[in-house]
Amino acid sequence: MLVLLGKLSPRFSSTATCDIEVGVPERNVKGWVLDEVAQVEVAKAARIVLREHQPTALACIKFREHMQSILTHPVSGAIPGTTGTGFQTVGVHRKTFP
Amino acid sequence: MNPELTAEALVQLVHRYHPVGLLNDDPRYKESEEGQRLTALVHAHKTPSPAWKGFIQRLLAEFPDCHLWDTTIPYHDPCYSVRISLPGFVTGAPLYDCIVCLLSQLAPVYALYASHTLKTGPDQGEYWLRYPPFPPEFQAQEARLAGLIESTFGFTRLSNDVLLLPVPDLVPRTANYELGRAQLIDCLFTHHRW
Repeated sequence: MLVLLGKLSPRFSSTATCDIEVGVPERNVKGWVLDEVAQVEVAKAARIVLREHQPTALACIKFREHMQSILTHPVSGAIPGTTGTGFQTVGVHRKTFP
Repeated sequence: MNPELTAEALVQLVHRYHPVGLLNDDPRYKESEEGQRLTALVHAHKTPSPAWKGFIQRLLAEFPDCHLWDTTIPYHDPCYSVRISLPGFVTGAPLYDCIVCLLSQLAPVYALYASHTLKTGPDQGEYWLRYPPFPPEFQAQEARLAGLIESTFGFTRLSNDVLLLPVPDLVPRTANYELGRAQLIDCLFTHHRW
């Protein structure tokens, strides 16, 4: 997904895009991970992180790290084993919404 | 120890695969000679090697009462990884103790760490990671696993001192790190440890 991060400080550029690839395991120690569940949990994690306003220049790294920690924490995470990185996988077709 | 596997030699090695002073979302990172070398390596391993596949089969045979999870992620970091629970774990159980095995694709070295999760309620529980020495209940499995890795691959296990050596001028390939945070374990294997 691509997230547009808005300006919060005059020291940083007005907007920046943040590319995030969320890698979800097909199965983990909780059992099978359904696509529908993964989509909902990833969206929930993104909303939580977006509520925490961060300076743009650092926002993307922090955004990905926080999103990964929300999803993957062994105790509180919805989907242990998930990764949150910049785009890594070649050959993935990209879509825009809407 | 093999002179190619000293801490100094391994620090030099990871500098051949990671550009100095660049964040991994800087376009110059992957365009650099070091970045291209690392990309070529992880792409060469997008399909697990026959040795790794054989190793997973051996683990299944050797640890029949344990839960195995091959956590290797293609295209990401230069390592193979697998989690082996202590005997008796079943999917969904609140207590999940395991030993995690990391095998580098950069050098013939490996690392083991212990991971403990105990869920006591919704969003509640305890969790820790531990490097050697492991708690006593992990040690028998640790010894068997180390023996199996060394007899299968001939790799050398790295000590905590080497694994946790700072490499502050590098950023691992997929880590959400700023400069100054990386350790040798992040660059030789992966930052994604849990």
